[in-house]
Amino acid sequence: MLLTVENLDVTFSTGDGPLHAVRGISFELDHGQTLGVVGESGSGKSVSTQAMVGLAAGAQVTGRALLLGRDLLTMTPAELSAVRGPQIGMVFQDPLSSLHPQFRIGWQIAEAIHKHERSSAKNVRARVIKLLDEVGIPDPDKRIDDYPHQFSGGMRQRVMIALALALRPALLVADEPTTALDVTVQAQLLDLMQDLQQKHGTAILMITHDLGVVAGVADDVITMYGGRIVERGTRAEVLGRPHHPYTKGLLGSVPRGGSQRTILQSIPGQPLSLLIDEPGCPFAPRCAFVQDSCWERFPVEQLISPTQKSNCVLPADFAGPVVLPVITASDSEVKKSDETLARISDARVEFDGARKGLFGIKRNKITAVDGVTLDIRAGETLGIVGESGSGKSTLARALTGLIPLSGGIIEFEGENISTFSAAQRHALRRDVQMVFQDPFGSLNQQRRVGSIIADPLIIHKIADGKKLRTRVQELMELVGLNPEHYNRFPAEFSGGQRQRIGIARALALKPKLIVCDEPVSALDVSIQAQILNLLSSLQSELRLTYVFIAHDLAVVEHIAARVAVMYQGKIVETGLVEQIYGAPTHEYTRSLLAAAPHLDDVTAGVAAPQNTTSEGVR
Amino acid sequence: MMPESTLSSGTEADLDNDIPAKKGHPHKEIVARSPLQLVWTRLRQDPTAMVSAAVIVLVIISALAAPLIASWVGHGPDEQFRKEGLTPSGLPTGPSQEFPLGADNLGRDLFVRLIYGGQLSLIVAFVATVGALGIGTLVGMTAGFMRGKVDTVLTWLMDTTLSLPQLLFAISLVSLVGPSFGTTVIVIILFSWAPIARVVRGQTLSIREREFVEAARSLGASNWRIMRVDVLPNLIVPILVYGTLLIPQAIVFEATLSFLGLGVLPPTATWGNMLAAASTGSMYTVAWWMLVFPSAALLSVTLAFNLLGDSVRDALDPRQTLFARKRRIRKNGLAS
Amino acid sequence: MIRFLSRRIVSGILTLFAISGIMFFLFYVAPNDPAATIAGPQATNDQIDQVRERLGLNLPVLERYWIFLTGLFQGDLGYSFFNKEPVLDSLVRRLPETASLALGGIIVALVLGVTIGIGAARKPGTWQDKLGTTFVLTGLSVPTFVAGLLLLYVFFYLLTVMGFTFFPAAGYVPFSKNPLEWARHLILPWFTVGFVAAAIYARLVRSQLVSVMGEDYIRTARSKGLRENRVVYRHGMRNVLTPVVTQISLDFAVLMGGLVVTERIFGINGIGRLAIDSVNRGDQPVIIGAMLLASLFVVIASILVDIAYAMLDSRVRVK
Repeated sequence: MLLTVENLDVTFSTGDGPLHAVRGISFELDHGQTLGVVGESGSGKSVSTQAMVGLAAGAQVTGRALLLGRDLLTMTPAELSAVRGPQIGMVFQDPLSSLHPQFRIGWQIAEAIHKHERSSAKNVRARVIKLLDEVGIPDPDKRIDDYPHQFSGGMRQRVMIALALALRPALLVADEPTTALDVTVQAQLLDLMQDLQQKHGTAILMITHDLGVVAGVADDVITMYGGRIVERGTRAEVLGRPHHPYTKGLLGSVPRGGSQRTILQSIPGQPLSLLIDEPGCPFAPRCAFVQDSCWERFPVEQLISPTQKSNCVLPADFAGPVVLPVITASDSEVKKSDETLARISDARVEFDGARKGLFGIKRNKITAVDGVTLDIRAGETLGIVGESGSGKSTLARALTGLIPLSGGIIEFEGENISTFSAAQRHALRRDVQMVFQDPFGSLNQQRRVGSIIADPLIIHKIADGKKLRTRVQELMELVGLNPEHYNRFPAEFSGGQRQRIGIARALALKPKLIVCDEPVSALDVSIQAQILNLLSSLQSELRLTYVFIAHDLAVVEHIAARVAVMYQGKIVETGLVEQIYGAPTHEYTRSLLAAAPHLDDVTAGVAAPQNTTSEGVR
Repeated sequence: MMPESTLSSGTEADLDNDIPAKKGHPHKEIVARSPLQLVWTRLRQDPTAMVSAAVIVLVIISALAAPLIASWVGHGPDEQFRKEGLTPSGLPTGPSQEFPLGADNLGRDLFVRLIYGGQLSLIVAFVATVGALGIGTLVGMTAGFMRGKVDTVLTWLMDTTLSLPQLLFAISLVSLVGPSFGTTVIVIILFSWAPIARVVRGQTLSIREREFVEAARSLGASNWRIMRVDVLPNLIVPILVYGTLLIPQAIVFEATLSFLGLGVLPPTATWGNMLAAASTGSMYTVAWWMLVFPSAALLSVTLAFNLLGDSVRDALDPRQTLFARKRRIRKNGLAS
Repeated sequence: MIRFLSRRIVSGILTLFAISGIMFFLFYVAPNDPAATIAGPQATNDQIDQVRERLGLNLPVLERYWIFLTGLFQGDLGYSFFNKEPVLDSLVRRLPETASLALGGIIVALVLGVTIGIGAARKPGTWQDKLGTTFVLTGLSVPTFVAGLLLLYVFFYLLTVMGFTFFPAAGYVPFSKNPLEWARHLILPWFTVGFVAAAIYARLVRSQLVSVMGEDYIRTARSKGLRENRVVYRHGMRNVLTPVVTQISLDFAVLMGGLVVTERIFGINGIGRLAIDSVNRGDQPVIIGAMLLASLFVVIASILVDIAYAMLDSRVRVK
């Protein structure tokens, strides 16, 4: 066995008391294998591995972590630094910040080699070039002397992989290695890691919140919740026939290909604070099957199959595939939306770019949106999909009138909004609203929630006094918030609740069109599903029209009827979701769809093997 | 198999803030507290902050009660006691029953003068700080919010002010209009607003890029409303911190000007001109109290303000690095 | 890079223009009459008029400003009212004193500040950190003149009383005459100037280093198996350099003030001393000259610092 972790326990002391981040976990990883550790934020998945290799500052760590028979936790700092590099390589989440901005990338890799091996500078340089070539950096002999900022995010992550694997470690710890990257880049990197794994026999500990990533690469899977491992087994078992209600809930929350117009199975509630040390199962407060004994002690591991184990009291035959209920959309609903609410024709948005000339008075122009034409029909949900830098967020802001167009026309209900007077533009705000991406940044931390939601009503002089409060409380109730919490501050709410606050604010003016800019991308999957369900039910209740912008193909497929694919400022393809996802015509759409991770391959493969071929088309 | 009905799916059922309190699960009730209330709670638990605050309060009280103290001691601040305060050879006498902190070179009561000096220092510092904060906030916010040409001009003004050799310029100004209380305050404001404006401008620039400002704009809020409702409340924290740190700077500035004979003029007592008296003709070699007590007074007050400012900043920004990092990355979203 | 520099230099020249303008109009257009000052209190109106004519004060304001500006470009700062010496000469004569003081002060500030800052940052929350913080806060709270007086009291007076005379109370010995004596006379002034600035650097280095050590690339450095010393000094300090360098330019103007006070306390005949004396004698050309010279230094220093900044930051240097 390469790595054996026994009873690993991690506690941090904080100003508010001890924070018990990891609560006695054990697992094993063999040479050349990939172990996927899945969990949401706060599950302890990253902390456990960082504590293991001594990178979690200020943590009190107990238990054992045997790497090739030597306990990492009892090593001196010197011994540990001799292990980091030659035996354990690490890749982290954010390639933008993980490389030192002031050193050349080749120097940074060479430094690792020089630290652990005696070798001439010339030899090391040749080795670094070879490494860069191996991870797919073009012209490695030239780019070796470049700085990190001269590379794209995906390329930087390749450099990180080259750095982590420079000394051919037996174990690679990959902590959310692709989370910050676009799907197409993510797919390339996962392929690269698998290639290198086969070539060198490296074992990979893959930590991720993304079930799709695990489905693609892991041999075995561990699910973590509240600092504990709740389920483990082979990939096919855990994803295909999960036993633990949390794993089931997680799988039910993820929108996936083919799930259009299903109701996502959200997990109610939110994770408990790790500051509270509960003796029972951490999932008990959110569990639909909770039993009295769950509150008293954490259930012992029970064997579901020879390789699958679950820490749950439910009987072993509870294990089974997750099937999402489907609402069959009546054709009439789609047909009704013929009336055009807004029309974008040949819209262009340009920004000032870098300065040029001796004194930098002239500036380059950057075209973010480059001739986009789109119709938005009343009552529909139009999804706009694109990777970062595709101009989709800029288009959203232009559509709401927040950014002026450099060319083209946007019409709302037949009127050209760029020729609007200030008063007309003010009135337009009542009809077009926006839901933002960042549930932390989009609410002013200094103001009470009630006053945030009341903002639009005050600005447009719609209500005041007692009526204002009644209206605010109605809105809070509408989006599923406790109306009595109107005088709390945003900091007291979780991410999902804050996003509900943002939605309530957008609904206050009873708009016709709501532009949602990545409204769920900052949320954990189980919370994502809550918000997506909320948006769907609000739409049918209030006859809303959505423009839904996202990078996540599955999310868009789940919520939208029509979809537009955006690439480098242009719409490359528009059509019904079935058309685009089923038979994409544009090459970019095809590569995007091919790159998106698919849970179905695994889940469907176990639950209904006869479906694999038809799923494979997607 | 999982029965469909058991998992909640609608919005009504998953009100995610109200998990019914179940057995064996005590629920801590969260009380709605504003960010400032939280800061106050943290400050109260910080002994350094409390001691500094106590020192400051003590000095303020003694400054307010200066006339009372003077009449109680029986010595006016500018009254000279050549017989009691000076030795036959004309040197000042040290601390005694009559003069608790000794007498100065003119036979005046050092203790009473120290308290009057403190009164003056505090008044100058408070007036100058309020003035500088007002101007700095206004200029900084305008520059940061308006951007463009307005910003270019105002930023240049700040940079120019910052690159002026302050003390030299202050000296030349004073030489033109003559030293006085008013001149001192104006000179301090003139050289203190720019750093504040710089900080406020930077903050405003970053606040106006935050999503909640964009959200306010998408609601149709006017620039004025955004400045008032969304930007200003988020500036209070840095302004507060800067304010507490500016007071000791103003005290030091005033003392320095007075020391050079360009601030408030004798016989009015200030800590600066008392120290000037101590250094003139190396008086401190024969009367250490003339150097030590004013220095100690000056130091303890500025130190108290600085310590308090530091504590306020700590209380405002408790470093929760463990979670801060995750949040930052999720917020940044996609890279490449 | 070149574009950046050219913008920087243009704005520096603009700043100098502005300062010269402000100084000129404050002193020569302001309500007080330099001619009366020069002619003396007993002068008759005729005598004052004569002086006015001789100094060209009867010309229109803008013309005088033009003469003043063209003079500046030729290095002509006018003549001292007091001893009729060219202003530039008296400034240049006192430059070595002030430069010696400033240079040593900056070195003391940097060495002391960076050392204390690193020491405190390496172990946040420990006694080393607390000691560092105490130093920083004391330094920020002490006015330069108090620091100077206390140093003088302890190291000159108390030591002398105890029979150990090493530090002189005042005076200046040129470096060319006797380098050792030069240094001996300047040690106390250097620490006086450096102490306050050291506190600023210590605080800056500490806060920057603490925040840099929380960066992801530091974790990467550790994950390579580098030892902590190398992580701190090579990877951490590399990114602390830039803010420290930037701070130097901001502090330059403040440092000048420290020089004025220190020169007065330690009896060093530098430019600051000259400026104060000139204020007391109403010698306006010298005041303006000192101001302009100081501003010139500040502007040049800040341009140099910006160049250093650009050289240090790979993101600016390599596009």
